[in-house]
Amino acid sequence: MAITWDIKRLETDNNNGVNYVHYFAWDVEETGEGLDARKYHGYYDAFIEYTPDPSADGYTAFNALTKEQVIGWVKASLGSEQVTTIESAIATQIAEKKQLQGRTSLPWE
Amino acid sequence: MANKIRNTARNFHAPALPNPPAEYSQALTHQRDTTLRIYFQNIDEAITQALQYDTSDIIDGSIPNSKLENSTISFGGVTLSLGGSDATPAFDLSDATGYPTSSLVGTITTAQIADDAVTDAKLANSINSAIAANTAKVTNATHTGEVTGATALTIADGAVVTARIADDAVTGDKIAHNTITSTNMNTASVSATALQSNAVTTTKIADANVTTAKIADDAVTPAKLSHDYLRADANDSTAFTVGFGAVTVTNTLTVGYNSVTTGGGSVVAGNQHAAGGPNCLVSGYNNTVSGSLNNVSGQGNTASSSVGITTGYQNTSYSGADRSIIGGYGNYGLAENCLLVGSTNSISTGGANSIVGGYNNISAGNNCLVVGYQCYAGASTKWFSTAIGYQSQALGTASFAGGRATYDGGTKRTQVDADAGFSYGTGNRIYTNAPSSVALGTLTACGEPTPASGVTAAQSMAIGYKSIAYKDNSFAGGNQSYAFGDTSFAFGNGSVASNGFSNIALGRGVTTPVSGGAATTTGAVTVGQWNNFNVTTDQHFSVGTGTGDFSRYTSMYVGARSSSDSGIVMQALKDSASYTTDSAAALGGVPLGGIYRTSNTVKIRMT
Repeated sequence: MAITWDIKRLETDNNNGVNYVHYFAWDVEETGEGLDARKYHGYYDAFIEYTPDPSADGYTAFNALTKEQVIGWVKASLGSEQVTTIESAIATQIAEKKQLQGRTSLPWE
Repeated sequence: MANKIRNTARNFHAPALPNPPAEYSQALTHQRDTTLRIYFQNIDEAITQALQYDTSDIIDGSIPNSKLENSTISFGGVTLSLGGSDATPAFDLSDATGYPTSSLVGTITTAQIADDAVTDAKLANSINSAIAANTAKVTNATHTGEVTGATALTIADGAVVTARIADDAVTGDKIAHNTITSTNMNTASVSATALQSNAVTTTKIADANVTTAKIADDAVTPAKLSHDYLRADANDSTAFTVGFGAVTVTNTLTVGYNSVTTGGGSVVAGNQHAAGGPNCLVSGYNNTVSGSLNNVSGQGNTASSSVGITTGYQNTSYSGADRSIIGGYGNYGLAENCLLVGSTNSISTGGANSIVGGYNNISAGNNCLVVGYQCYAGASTKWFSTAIGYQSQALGTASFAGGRATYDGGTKRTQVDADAGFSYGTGNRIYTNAPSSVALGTLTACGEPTPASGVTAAQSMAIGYKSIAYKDNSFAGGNQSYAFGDTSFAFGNGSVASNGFSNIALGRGVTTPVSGGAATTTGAVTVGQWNNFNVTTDQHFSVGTGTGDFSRYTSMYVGARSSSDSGIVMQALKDSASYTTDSAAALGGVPLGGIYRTSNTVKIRMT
């Protein structure tokens, strides 16, 4: 499964410029079918604060923003190395959850 | 002519005046005045008398016409001078009276008589007598117009010949009532239009003269048929039809071929029947009837019941099936007041007042309803039940079983053994220890076949697939969920409310806590999935987060509390990684606002 990046919440200043982006990335891996179906999720979320500059080149008004555009802001702000770190962490979470298959009850009961 | 008119003289004698005195004294003057007054008085009287005339005073013929004020006279338009004459005066006598008719001369013409003026009284009696005697008219003149008059005109009896009557002149009103006899009418001259509608009564039709052709098709109603036998002649091959309405047959009516009728008052029709009792109605082929008051129709039926109807093919109405109705094929009725239709169904002796339809169904209890295929309802002491569908069985009193059977290692019918149970679906079961319970869906169950002593599942409910409610007031729903405890609730997939009072399991593979094969506590609520249920601690609320039956985990639970123990256990937090910062927690999957720990310090991720 490819990791999905998405936006959870935006906040704006008094000039309707975006100054807060709550983003998240996630993935899910499914195993089994029917009654044996299982789902294992990996998840990461955080926020980034910005200082809007309406005079900057390419400034986009709030109502004209797209999700893809904001995700691009986030990834640009994080840098490619941090993006890779996050996606690796999500994959690790899924792998660890899949390993939690052992019975936790007492064997003599 | 005379010159004077007075015939008698009127003389004036003046009184003698006294002689004049020598000397007038007053006395003499007075005497002279008195004499003068007398003198003039006499003159006045003489003149007055002279001017007065008596008849005798006037001389006859002394006054000429010219001295008269009126010298002519006029009578009836004729004027004459006084003393004149007219021997033939043309008087107008229109106002004259007293002129005697005998004085008339000449002839009174018809024109002198006013119209309508001569009455019969002015005619001679002989004329009136002649008119009255009708002898006045002595000539035979032909009368060409109307003869009118206000009084009777008598014509001699038998005198008016036919030629004197105009063609088409004699109307119905001129013919006396009840006088025209058949001899006055030409043979075959009375047409249908001359007859009044509805006027021909039965007595006007000769006996045995109304032919079939004179009766309109479909015109004879049942009310016009005499309450008598309706018979067909022997060897009469012509079919006849009895239409809509009632036909009363007071004795035996036998129609068809080779029927055997031993009872009176029966009606038998068809071929090779046998009616054993009176008052039976049998039709069809090869039927057998015994007893009395039966109504049998169809082929090969056997009816021994009383006052029943057995129709169809090879049905059997036994002696106990009084007042039952049996139709269809191969059915058997042994109980009274039943309705049995379809094929190879049966109602046993204990199934009175039941209704059975479909194929191969059985009603064994009173007042049952069975419809479908191989369904079964009631028993000798289990009444009022309903079974419908495919192989459904309602065996408890007032129970209901519907739907169908299925195969699950064996045939599993939808079956209700308990009283007042209700089950509909596929292969569901309500056992005897679960009265008033409901099982819906597929292979669900209420109660159990061999419960421990005293264990019941009354008022329980199982819905879904293979879910089972084991105890009173319990509910099991979803997929293979089980409610083991009294008043317990299990819903979801493989959820189990363990055998404690009021335990609730909601989710996937969750089980309220159990220890040593029995519920750890009562009032336990478990949600989520695959919780670690095999514990020794009380968990009144627990959240399972396991990933399978062999990977069970309880993230947190709320147990019994005390002053020394809150009873709240956050197992998942304890078992989670320790993060020193929010950033590290984020990469570990802790969301914003999520709880994590740094060693034994609980934190909330804020950044």
